[in-house]
Amino acid sequence: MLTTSSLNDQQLTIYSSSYVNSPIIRVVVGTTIDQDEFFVHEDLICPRNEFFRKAMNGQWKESEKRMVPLPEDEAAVFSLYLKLLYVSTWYPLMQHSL
Amino acid sequence: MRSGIDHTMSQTGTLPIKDNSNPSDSAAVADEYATLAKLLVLAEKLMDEQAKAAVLAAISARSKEPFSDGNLYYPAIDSVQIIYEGTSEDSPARALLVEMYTESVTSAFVTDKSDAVPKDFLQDLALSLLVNRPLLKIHDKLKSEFESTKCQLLNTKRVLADTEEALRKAQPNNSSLFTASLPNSLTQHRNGSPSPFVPMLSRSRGLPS
Repeated sequence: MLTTSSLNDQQLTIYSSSYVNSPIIRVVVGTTIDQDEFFVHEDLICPRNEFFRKAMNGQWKESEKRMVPLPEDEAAVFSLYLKLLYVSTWYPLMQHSL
Repeated sequence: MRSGIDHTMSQTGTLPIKDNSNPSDSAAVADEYATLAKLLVLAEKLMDEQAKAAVLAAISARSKEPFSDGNLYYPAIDSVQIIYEGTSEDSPARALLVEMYTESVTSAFVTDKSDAVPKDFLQDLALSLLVNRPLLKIHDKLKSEFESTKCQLLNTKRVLADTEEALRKAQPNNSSLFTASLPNSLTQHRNGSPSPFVPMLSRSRGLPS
């Protein structure tokens, strides 16, 4: 199993450059009173997240505006989710065990 | 609430949960579980299977790791509510909760908190407890088998003690007494080399050989 210390350039390419230059999606979490904005790379979130994949597939207004609203969710929880996404791609070990 | 998982994602490759180096109370654990439960529900809603598996593993890992007071804590009723409201019937998160509570739940849970407990959870838990209940009939049968095994063991022990007594009394070169007092299974050395028991017993008890 890979560990972070054994990452070579080729593995770094595989694990990190696949999404970093993909377009950004804006995510608006919460209602108007208590609202937070997040930004996430499309190629990071869409392959594993069916909800975002559907929102971005062209049939919805979200895909045009590149914005996904999540009015019923908490910003703190969505923030954790984003961290999970980014970190799990950075640590191959984690990616492997997820 | 955010602080529950906000420590920098660790290098260990697991979903980090709050380090418990600082003394705190069980409410802190409950908050951690509630945060994980909300994250799990979000992952379910967004249909991210990888994230679901990671959070589920984090909940399971947390339940096996003692808190700063040395106790193990399971997700409290608020986490149960969050997960039952945000997941579907066949969710593995529900199954994990039921499994934990089947192991640890006490009657106080039902008497004190039944109003707050989701009905579906009570039903799942009742079913699981029934499935895992040791049946009285089986218990009685096992008990009688156990008793009879115990009797046999005591008998065997007695025979062994008698044998040892006989060996101790016996002159090692007096083979007739020796063979007469030994059970069949111990006489296999009769016609060959002397029994290995004899010199050893003689030495240890200081008897003439």
